[in-house]
Amino acid sequence: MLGNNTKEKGNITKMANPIFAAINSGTTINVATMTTIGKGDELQPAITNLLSTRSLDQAKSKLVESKVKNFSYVATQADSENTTDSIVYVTNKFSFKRDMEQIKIDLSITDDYQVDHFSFEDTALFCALPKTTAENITNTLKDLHKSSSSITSLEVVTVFLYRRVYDANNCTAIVNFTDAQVSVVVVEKTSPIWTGALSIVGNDDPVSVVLKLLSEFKSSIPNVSIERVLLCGDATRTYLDSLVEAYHTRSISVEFFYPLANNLINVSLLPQVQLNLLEREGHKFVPVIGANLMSLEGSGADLSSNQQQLVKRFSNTPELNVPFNIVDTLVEVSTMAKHKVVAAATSQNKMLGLALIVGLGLVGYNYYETNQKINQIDSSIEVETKIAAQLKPFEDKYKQYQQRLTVKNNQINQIREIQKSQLTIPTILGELQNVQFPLAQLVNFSDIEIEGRSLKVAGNAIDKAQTIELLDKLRSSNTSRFLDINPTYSSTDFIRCNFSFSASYAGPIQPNNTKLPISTTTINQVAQIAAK
Amino acid sequence: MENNDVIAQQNREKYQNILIGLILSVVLITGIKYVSDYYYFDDVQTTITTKEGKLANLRNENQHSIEIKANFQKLEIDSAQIEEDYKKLSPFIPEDEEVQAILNDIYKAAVERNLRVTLFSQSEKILHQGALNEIPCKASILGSEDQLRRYLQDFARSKRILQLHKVKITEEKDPRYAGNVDADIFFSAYSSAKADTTTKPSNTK
Repeated sequence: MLGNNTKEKGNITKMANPIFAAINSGTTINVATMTTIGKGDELQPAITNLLSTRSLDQAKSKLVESKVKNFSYVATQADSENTTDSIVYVTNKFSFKRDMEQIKIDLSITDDYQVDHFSFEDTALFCALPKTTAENITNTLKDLHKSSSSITSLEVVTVFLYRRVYDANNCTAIVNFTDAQVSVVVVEKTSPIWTGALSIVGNDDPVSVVLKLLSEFKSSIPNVSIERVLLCGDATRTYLDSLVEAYHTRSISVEFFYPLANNLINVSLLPQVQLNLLEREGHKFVPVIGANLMSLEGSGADLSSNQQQLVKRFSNTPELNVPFNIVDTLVEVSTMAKHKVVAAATSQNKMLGLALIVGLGLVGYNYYETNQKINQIDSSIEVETKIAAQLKPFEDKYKQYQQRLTVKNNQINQIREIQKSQLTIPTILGELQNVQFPLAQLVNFSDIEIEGRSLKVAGNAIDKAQTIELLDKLRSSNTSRFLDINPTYSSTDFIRCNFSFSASYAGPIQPNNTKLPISTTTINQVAQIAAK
Repeated sequence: MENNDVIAQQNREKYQNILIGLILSVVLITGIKYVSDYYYFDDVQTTITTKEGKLANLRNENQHSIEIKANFQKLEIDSAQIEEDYKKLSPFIPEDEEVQAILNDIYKAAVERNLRVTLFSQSEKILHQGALNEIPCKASILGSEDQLRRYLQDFARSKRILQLHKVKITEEKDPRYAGNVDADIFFSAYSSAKADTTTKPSNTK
């Protein structure tokens, strides 16, 4: 629901910016959501929704759909365990960090408290909340919405909003009413100087409680006079009238706190009903608007159990913190695009219908065309198959011819290869006998083995000298066709000599000159034609 | 002024809707085409491409056959020539059934050289060497060394193709055959490799 208004505006920039929500509980539960609109120097905080409910469940049901980045709870002093103990103190902002522990000791704040502070020009507001209370509120906020959450102090947010929307050139008392208590914070020009709160007991008149608190301030700081009283929270017209009457003689202006006083906050995103509510009872939403404004600037005093890193110092110039979230932006853009496309598709349904018909028509035409093509190819294949069957005998004859020709050529080539070495063994044997011939009576070969060009010979001679003579002849230049001769002798007495040797023959081998009656045939004219 | 703004805004939205409608129409038509292509026409196109390839092959083969048919007379002449060539080669590389006759010739040649053939064997294992079948054989011979050398040369002079691989000559120890040698001759004979390539009678005209 909170995001719907921004969607209706149709401004992507607005929607892409994060939404902050704040809640405070009083007589009614007030919730406000805010974001930023515009770009660059024109960036402006804007209220996107206001809500007043009686129960947290109602608030939750309204918030469940919204995409809130941070959820702030505005704590009053009534949220502390003992409402008579004030949890907000004005202190010197200088050396605040250094003296934090000393301040806690001075104020009797134990470690059971969650503490934080926020600095204005000259002073700072020190806030504390019992840790158990902080834990309970944090859990309640988690249950209320899944966004991150913080707990801020009522006094801090009211002073912050006051500084943003009013000229801080006098002394103003900001009075906040709840059903349980009245709290006052006095701002002297730019800084808070005093704060106090009192519970409303029984039939106490809230106006008298205010007068009592302001009287207490007067006695505490007598030299400062209040010039203006701003009422917020559950303040009614009756309270206003009573206070106006009480202070009319003292020139003290009494009025409702008006959060739109200087037009800082943009309300263009609000529905008219909520805008009227804001104009009429804007003071009721001061705490939540102030808390949201602080969140938008990334500043504040956080009392939650999971404290966030926030700026602790008031800046004279609003510095809106607008982190860019690409995922959110893409989601929003795609959602926008989807809405536009759906709207366009609805309005252009005739055009889309025509497109559908055209698309289906194209598919139909394509179907017809491809089937025609397949049929045409099938017919052609059938015709060509018949022709192939008719021509098969010619093709077979040609293949046979080719095979026979190949076999014949191969046979001729193989025969020629064989002829080259047919005379190897007779040649080697003849050469060996030629060498032996002059020594035929002296040297005898008992074993000869010839295989290819290798030979092994064993024999005997009448003496070793003849053996050496034979080997010399084998090695001599005239008969050096035998190579690698490795002889062995078995003679020791120079009378009878057995020998053996191996060798290889390196001499020429005359090929068999028997002419073949035919030669190899090159492929004929038919084959050449067919090979084209 | 406000009315003009409203009309201008309405016109803008109208044109915007038309533009989006046009884009959606294009997307719709393209999407229909893509889906139909993906689920049907891509497969059909593959079938068409396959069939076209088959048709092209058939046409090429038929064109080849037509050219053969046109030159068939020449092919017949060439085929006859091949058969003639085979006849001329047949004395060198006989058919398998003629191998035994070759071996008989070799045996007779040994006897004519006054050599005594003590063993003549043919391996049962036939080696296929390309277009020829090789039949390993062994002959054991007894005789003079000189006659043996001449006998070995006879192998090369044979009309048939024979190849000597190895010769092992040993001096005869038996005094009855003194001066002679024993020789183991390892050689191969060759026959034409059997192949289903013989030209069969054709009924082509």
